[in-house]
Parts: sequence; C-alpha cells; structure tokens
Amino acid sequence: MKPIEVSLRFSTSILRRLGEELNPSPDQSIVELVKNSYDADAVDCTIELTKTDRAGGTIRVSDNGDGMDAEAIRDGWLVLGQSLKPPGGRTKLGRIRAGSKGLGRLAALRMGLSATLVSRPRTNPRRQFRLTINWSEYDEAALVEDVMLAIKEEPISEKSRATTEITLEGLRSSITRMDVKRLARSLLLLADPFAENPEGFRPILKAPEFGDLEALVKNRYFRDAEYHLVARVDNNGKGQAIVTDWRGEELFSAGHEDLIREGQQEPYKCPPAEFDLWLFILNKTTFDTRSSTLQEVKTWLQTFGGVHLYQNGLRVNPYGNPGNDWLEMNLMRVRGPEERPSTNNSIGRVSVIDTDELLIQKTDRSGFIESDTFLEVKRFATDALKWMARRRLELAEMRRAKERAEAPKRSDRAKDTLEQVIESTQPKSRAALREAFGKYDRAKEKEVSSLRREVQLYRTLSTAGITAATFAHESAGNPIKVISLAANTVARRGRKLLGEKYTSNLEEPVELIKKSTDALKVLGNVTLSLTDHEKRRAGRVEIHKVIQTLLETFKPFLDDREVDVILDFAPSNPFLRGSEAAFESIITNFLNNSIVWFAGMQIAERKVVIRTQIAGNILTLRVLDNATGIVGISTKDIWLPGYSTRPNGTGLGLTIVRDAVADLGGTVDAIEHGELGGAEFIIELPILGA
Amino acid sequence: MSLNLAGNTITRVDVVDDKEDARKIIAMTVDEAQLLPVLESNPLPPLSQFVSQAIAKADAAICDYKLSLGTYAQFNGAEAVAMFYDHKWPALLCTTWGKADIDAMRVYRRKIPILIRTDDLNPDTIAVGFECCIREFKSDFSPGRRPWRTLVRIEDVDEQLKPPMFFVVLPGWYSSDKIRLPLDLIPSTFRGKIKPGVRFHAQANKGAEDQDDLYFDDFEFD
Repeated sequence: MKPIEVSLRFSTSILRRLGEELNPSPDQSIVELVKNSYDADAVDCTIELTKTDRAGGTIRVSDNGDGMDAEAIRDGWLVLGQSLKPPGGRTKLGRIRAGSKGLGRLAALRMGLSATLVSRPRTNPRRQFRLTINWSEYDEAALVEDVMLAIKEEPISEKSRATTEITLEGLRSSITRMDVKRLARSLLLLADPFAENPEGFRPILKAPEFGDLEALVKNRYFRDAEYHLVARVDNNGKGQAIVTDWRGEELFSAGHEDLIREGQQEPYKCPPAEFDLWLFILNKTTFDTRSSTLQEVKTWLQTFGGVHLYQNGLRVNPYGNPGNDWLEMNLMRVRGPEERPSTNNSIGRVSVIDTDELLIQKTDRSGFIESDTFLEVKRFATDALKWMARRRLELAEMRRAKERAEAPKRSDRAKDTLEQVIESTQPKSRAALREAFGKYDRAKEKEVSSLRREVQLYRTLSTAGITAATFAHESAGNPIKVISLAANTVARRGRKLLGEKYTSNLEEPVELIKKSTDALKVLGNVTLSLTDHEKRRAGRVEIHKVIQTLLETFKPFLDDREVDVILDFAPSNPFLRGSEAAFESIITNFLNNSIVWFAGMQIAERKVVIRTQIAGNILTLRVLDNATGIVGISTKDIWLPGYSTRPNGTGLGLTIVRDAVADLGGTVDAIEHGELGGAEFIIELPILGA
Repeated sequence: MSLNLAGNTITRVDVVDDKEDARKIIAMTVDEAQLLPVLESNPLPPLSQFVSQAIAKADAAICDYKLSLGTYAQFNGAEAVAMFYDHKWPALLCTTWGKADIDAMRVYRRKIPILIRTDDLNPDTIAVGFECCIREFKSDFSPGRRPWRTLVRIEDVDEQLKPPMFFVVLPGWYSSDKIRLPLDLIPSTFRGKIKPGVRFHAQANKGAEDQDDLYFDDFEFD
C-alpha cells in the first residue's frame, strides 16, 4: 500500500505564540521593523503614530531603502524564522545586517487588526507591490497555510517618496505615553547617536516626545565629562585602554597585562570590541567652569545614561536601559565607592564588531544569550572599569598627599590675610581682634595637635597589629609546630621506654610544655582571627553569636587569669547591620581593659558580666566588672585618644570603642563604679531585629 | 619496617617540609610508625618532576602546606598532595591552618583526602591516614569524603576580598552555615553566573562534619 504523505502543519494560534507572547513590549516590536529598514540600506525611516493613545489607532513605518519586489516579499519578508542574510554579509552601504529572523516583525505586524506592506523596488521604479494581511482571517482558519495572501503589482503612487511602507491599522491596544517615550529613546539610541562616524541611519518618530528627546540627544555633553575611558579588544583578544581628562589629554594607559591584573590571564575570547565610557563628576564646583549646567547634564544622563551595547552598529536591548546595570557598576560602587562610576554619573557604549554572529540574541529580544562570548565581552568591559578605578584611586591618593603637604602653607597664607584685615581696622579695635584671633588660633592648634597624636597612635598600633599578625603566622608554622610535635614525641617515647619512671619524673613537665604551647597557639589564633578581612564587610551581625565566638577565642586567656565571664543575654537573637570587626572591637577592648585592671589588684573572684536588654529596636549592652573601676580619670576624658592611667597604655582602646559605636549608629556611656563595683559601660545600639 | 594498608605495602615515607627542625621531628614520628622516613632536604624541583621523583623513591608522603621558605619549593603542599592524588599515591597534608589557608586550599580539597593538624600527627594517625587515601583511590570513601550531587545556593559575592570570594549555603548540609569559597574554584566559563540567588549543582562531600573539609567539584549550571 502506498504510504500517506504528510507534513508538519501549524495551527494559526502559533502566530500568537510566536508574535504577541514573544513580544517584550510595543516599542521593541516597532524597533524590529526599523531594523528591517536598516538592513535595507535606508537612510531615513519615519514612524508615524496616529490616534494610538487608544485602541484602533494606526502606526506607519516608511523608509527609503532598497524596496522589495513580489519575489523578495514572498521568499524573504513573509518567511518566519529564517535569517535573510548570509553570515558576514554586508549591505551596499557596508552595513552588517541586523539579521532579524522575522519574529519581532511578526509581533509588530500583529499589533493591528491588519497590516499592509507597500514596497517599491529600486530595480523597477514605476511599479509597486502591495500586500495586506487581515489577521481576522487567521482567527477564523484552523491552519496557517489555509489563509492565502495576495501580492498585488500596481502602478507607483506619486504621493510618497518612500520605497517601503508598512501600515498597521486597528491597533488592538493603546500605546501609552511611557511606551512612546521608550520607543523614542530606543530609536534615538538604535544607531549609536554618540558615535563620531555613525552609519548615517536616523529613524524619526513623529511624536512630540521624540522632539524633546531628540533635542536632548543632540546636546552631546561629552566635553563636560571629567574622564573618558576608551578600551579596545583586538582580533587576538588582547586588550588595551586609555583614560583622558576633559581636555582629551591622556591620564593613564594600559596594555593587556595591566587590564587583566585582577582577572584571568588569557586573552579575551570575544570579537573585536570597543568600550567608551564618559564619566562625570556631578557637583557644583566642577560645573562652575563648564559651559553647560549641572542640571542639564544630570537630565541628559538620567535619560540616556548607562552603558549601551551595540552589535555591528545597532543597539541591543536592554543593555543600558534604566535599571539595567549589566556591568554591575552600581554594585561595584557600593562595595568600593571611591572613584567608581555608576549608571547615574556616566554614559557609555560597548561596540562589538561581530561579523560571525558569535553573540546571539534571545528570541524574545531580552538580550544576548549568556554564552562564553558574551561573558568574555562583559569580562573585558568589567576589567577596563576595574583598571580605571585602580588608577583613579592612585590619583586620589596622590592628591590627598599633596593636600596634606599644602595645608600648612594655606594656613600661613590665611593668617597673613587675616593680619592684613586686622591692620585695616580701627587702631583701637586691633588689640581686641588680635587677642580673639590668638585664642582661636591656640584652640585650633590644640585640636590639630590632638588629631595628629591620634593619627600617630593609630599608625603605631596598626604597625603593632601587622607585626603581631606576621609573628602569629610564622610562629604557628614553625616553632610552635616543632615544640608541639617534639613534646608529643617525648611523651610517646618516654612512656614506651621508661614506663612508670616517665609518669613519675617526666610526665608533668612535658604536659606543662604542651599546655603552654596551647596557650601560645591561642595568642596567634586571636591575632589572626581579629585581622580576618571578611569581618570588615558590612552585613548582618548577630550580637550574641559574635560575643560567644569571641569569648571562645579568649577563653584560654581568661581561664589563665581566672576571669569568669558571665553572659546575661536577652532571650532572643538581636542583630544589626554593620561590620563584625566594629562590634568585635568594642567587646575586645572592654575585655582587655578588665584583664588589665584585674592584674593590678588582689581579688578572690574576678568577674565580668556582659548583659543585653532589648526595648523596641534598641539594644542596651552593658559590660561591667568587679575590678578597680574608673579612677584617676574622669568618665568624660576616658574616650579621648592617648589618655590612659596605665604607664604604657596606648589610651586608644576606649577611643576605638567610641568610634566603633558611632559607626554602628549608637551611643556609649560609662559609670566609674557600677553594679559590681568596677567600671560599667552602657552601649545603646539600634538593631534591625531580634 | 613496613605496613600493609588496604592491600598496599608502605615502607618509605617522603617527608616534605621547608623547615629542617620540622622535617626531623616528623621523621621521628614516621619512624615510630614502623616506617622509613625519606627527608626532602634540598630545594625541590618543579612540581611534576618532584612528584615523579618522590613516587620513585618512596611509597607515600607527608607534606606541610607552606613550602616557600628560601628556595625550598615553587609550589605548596596542597598542590603537591593533589598531584599525588592524580597518581593514586597516598599523601597526607599535615599543617596548621587558618581561614585564609582553607580558602587557598579549597581548589585542591577534592584531592586532599587527609588534612591533619600537626598536633594530631602520631604513628596511629599516619597509618590510618595512608589507609584512608588508598581506600579512596579504590572508591571506598570514608563517610566524610564520599561525593554527592548537591544543590548549592549562592548567597553573596564579594570581589573586593583578596582573593575574591562568594558565599554559599548547602541546603542539604547545615543549611544555616554560610560557606566562603574562592571564585577561582569555579571554572572560568561559569564565573559570570556567580551571582546572589543563583543555584547550581556540584559534587560535594555532604558527609563532612566541618566546613574546612568540604570540597566542591563537577559544577553544573543551568
């Protein structure tokens, strides 16, 4: 029996699925039609919206591209899912075609109840071809191939100079003002309006919103940018970058090795690409000397800012859209705010020349598939941003050093000026003015001197900390390790060789060596634990947990000094946002103080109580002991840097407590002799929860 | 002087440590375990050459992690033990460590069957450690080392840390514990997918009792 020949057929509902359901938004659908005009080598492309603020309106897209004859319409325009160009092919104007596969076009065409195409091929200037699709016919049919379409050839109409016109009539839904604004922005950005040598393609939307934005986009404020980054990847995947100032003078430059310093070493596995970023310092002082105003630039950046991504000259949605931070600039700025650009203060573009179509757009036009190639483009751009941030930070450091050197000179100049002013006043008031200024000068000098002392103390202690950490690391690796292993070996061998004699003569001293080695290890562990850089990250700090962990670390110290720490916690788990290091430094300094105070007195039971109480969103933390209390210094002065009642005390512990508490948004107070007779410290901290 | 462990005979043990005193004292412990210590006293050749030479002259090794004193070695003990693992040759990583060391070792942790604190090194732990390695080469894993396909959830990423880190939770392990992992652990092709909220699968030893012992391998991203 002869087999029955069949083929796959498509229900008409597939048009809805491929059209509306894959259509991200009306503006993106219309942009797909505009990309067709670009591929057809059009220079002008006009989009007219008529009565689209309600359902039933009309959209007309017309261009002056190559036009199509009946064959081109049948074999190209009407075929869905097929790219119209061979990869790498260029148009007569040298454009690399956007290569739309027709799904975006389908979505656009289905926006109305009918779509009419009129096209006039350049090869046949007297004839035009007309095709109308009435979507209601598809609604009534079961299968796509059941609806026949007719391309009519007719004499050319003299009215229009356009070569291709698409008219969508009877819009199914209205196009909101926001849609129009988004469309206007997409059209303006489509063919890289910021490029010095654009493709000569300028789509125009006939709508008031477009005029406003067009005026805005024409105002190129690039000259007001403080920095301009230009980074490139060549055909071999090697990157390079340069940063210029607002006058275009080179500030920094980098080769491939400099760019990838913090990343992977291999070349970028992506097509040639160029990354431009203009970075603005949005403050009044900077703009005092500029031709444009701060507000103008802010508005411009709000509308067009962000880093846009162009593939073969055409912008790819949604990179650089409001809220789209594909290079994670805002995140990086939050983590290291100094000298980092954000999407609010910069504008840029990454242009990729991708003739082999290695970057593939998702079918729903929501960006590129996150392939290795795309991730490599992203890596290149991110590396360039990181490199620029490093160089700018270096510059900022130099600037700060210069400012420190300049400050005394400026102060002298200010004094001279003041003296001149005093000289110009009435002779009888000069003495009073000089005396008043002298008083002010002395007070200021005292303040500066105190700050200098504080800075010096912090530096000294930082050096002590670094040295302690290095020693801790080294001692754990060698001497302590060898002592520990040797003591264990002596113990094992002693027991084996000497039996009872070992137990009676050697066991005790060997065990003492082991115990002391353990205490030494703790010293190292505490130092290394305090310097763990993860603790300096801001995040959720669980107060009780941090205190308990810290006490575990301190346990050998506290046991050795017979200090009993009693925890009297509120029955919940209070937490705040801050750095663990800040909170840890508060408790560490209190414990250190208690240990030191206990050392100077004879007392049977050494006791420290750490108590927490919660009222609303405030945590009260009390640290109290039964040591000497605060004597020989007022509770007002204990927080001052460098003030200590101990001969070799740094006088910084409680200053650090004060600063750390302030960082966490709290307050701290002290009582000379509290509930247990010794000092009592009361800290109030705002918490997020408990 | 030799031990028969899980069907393998171990006689000579290569002792790799950049400090002479440490080599001597470890050698004494090896000796007590009824094994012959072979001390690596001279500067070591490049890693692959060192591994070949060690395999030729001994049956197992005890390596310290840090080997960088002077010109002793251009690699660390974790790299060496991992390469021994590739040759199915037993080696213990015996060292003291802090959080930063664990971060650095994590990339090799899959191939470090035994990470032992120096204090815990004694004749018994040496024998048990080598036996554990040999069993693992025969896919006879100890409960804490057996690999399982495990769901991993990324909680946070911090590229400012040195080295850059990401933080994960293993719902199938102690789900409240956040584990810090170096970004280097992830193959470069997947690096772009490391974002908070992303879930992926990996082979991990969910039976491990301590974070320090966890390893991750064979990453699967959607």
